[in-house]
Amino acid sequence: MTKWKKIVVRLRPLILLALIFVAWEAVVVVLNIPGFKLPRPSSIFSFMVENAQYLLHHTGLTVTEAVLGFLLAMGVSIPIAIGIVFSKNLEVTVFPLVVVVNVLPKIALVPVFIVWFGTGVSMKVLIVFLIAFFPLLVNTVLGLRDVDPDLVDIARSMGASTRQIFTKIRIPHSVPYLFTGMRIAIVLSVVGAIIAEFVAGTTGIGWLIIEGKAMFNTPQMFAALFSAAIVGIVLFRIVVLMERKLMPWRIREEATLGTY
Amino acid sequence: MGRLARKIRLILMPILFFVAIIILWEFAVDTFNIQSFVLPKPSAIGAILVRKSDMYVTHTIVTLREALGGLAIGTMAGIGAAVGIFSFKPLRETLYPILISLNTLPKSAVAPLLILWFGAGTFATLLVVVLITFFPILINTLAGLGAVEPELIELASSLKATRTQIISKIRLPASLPYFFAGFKVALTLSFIGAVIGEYVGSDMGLGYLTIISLAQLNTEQIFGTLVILASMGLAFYGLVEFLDRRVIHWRAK
Repeated sequence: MTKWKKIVVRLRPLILLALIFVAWEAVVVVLNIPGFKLPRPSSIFSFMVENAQYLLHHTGLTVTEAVLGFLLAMGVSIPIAIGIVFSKNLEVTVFPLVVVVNVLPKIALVPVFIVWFGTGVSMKVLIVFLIAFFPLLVNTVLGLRDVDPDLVDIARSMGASTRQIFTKIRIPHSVPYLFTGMRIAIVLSVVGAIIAEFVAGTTGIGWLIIEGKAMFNTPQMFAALFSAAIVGIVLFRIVVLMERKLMPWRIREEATLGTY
Repeated sequence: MGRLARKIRLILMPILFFVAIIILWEFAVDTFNIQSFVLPKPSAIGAILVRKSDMYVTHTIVTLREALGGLAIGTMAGIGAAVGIFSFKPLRETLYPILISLNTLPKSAVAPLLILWFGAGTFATLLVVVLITFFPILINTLAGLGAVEPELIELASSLKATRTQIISKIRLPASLPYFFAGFKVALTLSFIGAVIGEYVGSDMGLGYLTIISLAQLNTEQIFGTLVILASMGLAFYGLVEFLDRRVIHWRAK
């Protein structure tokens, strides 16, 4: 019975979602809402089936931008974080500025990036990089720093080198923080790609939404929004799955704040 | 090194570093002969801020109104929803995980839809701000309401406190540190939301100003906007940080 119970609990969000769709369909039909304002779920789904290839093409581009920008941000932020933790000078001069920049609206830089890098995929990857970089850097530094000083003292008194302390104590301790940063960064990566697509270019989920609005093609807007939601959930789940595999002792359903 | 000297160093060093970047930037633009539409000099950005101050003030007021208005509505709605969900037990357990997953969706992607429904302009932008500031407030306040020592509640109940009293006198004050953590996040998000809304459909505000400046390839003007957005973001963040320390002074940092 417990197994059944587990399945029901896991399916609960899906059941809820199905109920929402049924209610939505009913409301649109009963209140006679015109399709360009709020399409019925059934017409959105049929749009998605008919234009599956078109949707997949643009969704694929957005996913590429988000993932490339995210990986770039990981690759750049982690070495810089290590540098900041190792060097007292960097920690005092650079890190406070990083913390400050982290709370600024970096999305406002999209027009500048368009001037510098054009309206293509590379500009969008760089926007994603810019937005994902700061939460990753800040959280990694906090993680590398947040080590019990007693632990470091013990290791040192037993003759551990600075390098050993780093690899054996600091890095493992920073992993939970790194994942907090990754959770925020992966969500922002998808958002960043979509907003960059809002502003420039004629590709991607963001463009599908903007074009749908311009053409009063509301089913396309919703189809694109559903794609965005699916992409967001899948990429976020991948990060959470990695976290669980790496840190099975630390299973939690932590709120990921700071996403938009 | 004395404590004061260390404190001064901690504050001074980042500022000096920042000033050094600005000076380096100014000279680099001259030395490498970078054209102003690619990267304007800091002095030119300062000059345009002064020269076109009227225009900047007009757009800044619009963005401020959207960001702070949206933040106020999002905050009130978030607190209200948190108290509502918390006082209704079946909702508490089922909705919390759903809200957390909802918060990981790309929420600002619906901005064009809001504009389709409510028309281009500041109202739709305000709604974008409400949408994205609502979640951090709701999730954190909800977590805070639940984070009260059970003994405190039992004591209050044994002294015949009503449910409303327990919420207003114990749970809400106890949730303040959580609320402020959420509010700080929501504050930074409010300006982001305003800019996104203005990108997509508005004819006023700083986000809109960057877009038309882009069309004119007036990079100086874009950077002027960025300076204003950054200063506002910092000023408000500093204010909330200050309030946080004042209001919840009992919490050891």
